[in-house]
Amino acid sequence: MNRPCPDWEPVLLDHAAGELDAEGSRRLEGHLAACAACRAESTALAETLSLAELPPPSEAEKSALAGADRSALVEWKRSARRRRSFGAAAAAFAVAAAAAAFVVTPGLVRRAPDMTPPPVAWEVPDLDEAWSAAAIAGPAEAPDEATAAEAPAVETLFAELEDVELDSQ
Amino acid sequence: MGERNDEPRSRLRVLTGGAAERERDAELVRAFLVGDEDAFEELWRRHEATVLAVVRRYARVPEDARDLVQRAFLRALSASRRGIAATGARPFPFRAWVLRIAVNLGKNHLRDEARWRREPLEAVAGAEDGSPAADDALLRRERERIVRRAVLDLPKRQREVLTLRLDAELSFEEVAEVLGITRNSAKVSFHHAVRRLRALVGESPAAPGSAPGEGGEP
Repeated sequence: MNRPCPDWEPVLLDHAAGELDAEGSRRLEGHLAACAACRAESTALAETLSLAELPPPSEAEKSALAGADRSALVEWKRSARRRRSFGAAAAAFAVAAAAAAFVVTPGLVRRAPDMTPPPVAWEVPDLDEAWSAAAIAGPAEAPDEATAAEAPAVETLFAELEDVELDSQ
Repeated sequence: MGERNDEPRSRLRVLTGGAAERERDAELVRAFLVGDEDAFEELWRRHEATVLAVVRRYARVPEDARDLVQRAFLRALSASRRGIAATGARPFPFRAWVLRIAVNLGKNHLRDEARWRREPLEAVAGAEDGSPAADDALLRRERERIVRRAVLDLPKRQREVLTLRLDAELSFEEVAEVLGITRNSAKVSFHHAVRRLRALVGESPAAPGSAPGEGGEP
């Protein structure tokens, strides 16, 4: 069997697909009149699509489809009701969950350790103790000359103390 | 069906919608979603035949075809509801959506049917035709069965394009829109599909052109 002309094969397919415009169809007809192989191929392509086509819808199909729109509408409404019910149930559940969380959560949450110091009762400070505690033991300051001149001698102070003690006895 | 014509058709028809049709679909969908049931009826009337044409190749019995049509509409409307919620009032291609869903539902139905080894509707319809049991009629019916079976066995994209063009009679522009591909890609897939089927027909013993010299001389 002769093969169709390679250059014309896409045109034959376009023709089978109904894609050729008037000018294309006229040119193809001119070629087919002169080329037996392309003519046979054109017939075979048309035959192929004809075999692949389905017959028109049968009466059984038409009657099966009668009323299908109404039952589809019923199904849509049923589905819409389910969606609404689910939405309402989901919203109610969300509200209930939020309320439950509000009530229950404080009892469930562990209290954080209290880092504030315990209150301490205020007492009147012992001023003497505070004074001595505040005293800073540091290097003895060198007395200035004036103070040194006026200060009594250590031996004198001891002697005075001995005198007092003797007097008190 | 007594309307069968054994003469091969050389041209396919084209049924297509335009921008106005698309906008009308969008209006009807919006009206239906706010409770207008008449809008649903009109939407159904506008696309019922095309959706049926897409799914009936995959259906085993007429009831299967009806179920697939209903599911395609309901899913397309659900998708529209979500689409409107997501994009507002922007027009959307309801027809493309419902046909794309129909193609996918048909494919899934075919897969499920294959699990049960059932024959699709075309075999049943052929048996119901009641044509005379002439040899040539029987032979043609057998060739139809083989080729239609081969259509279902085509690679996915080729099958989708071929059935949308052949069964639903969509233009290649609309086929491309439904499948989300380019027009050229749709056309190339169609060519591949027809070549495959043509090769099968060429192997068939009664195929035209299979015998030398059958095409005649110019």
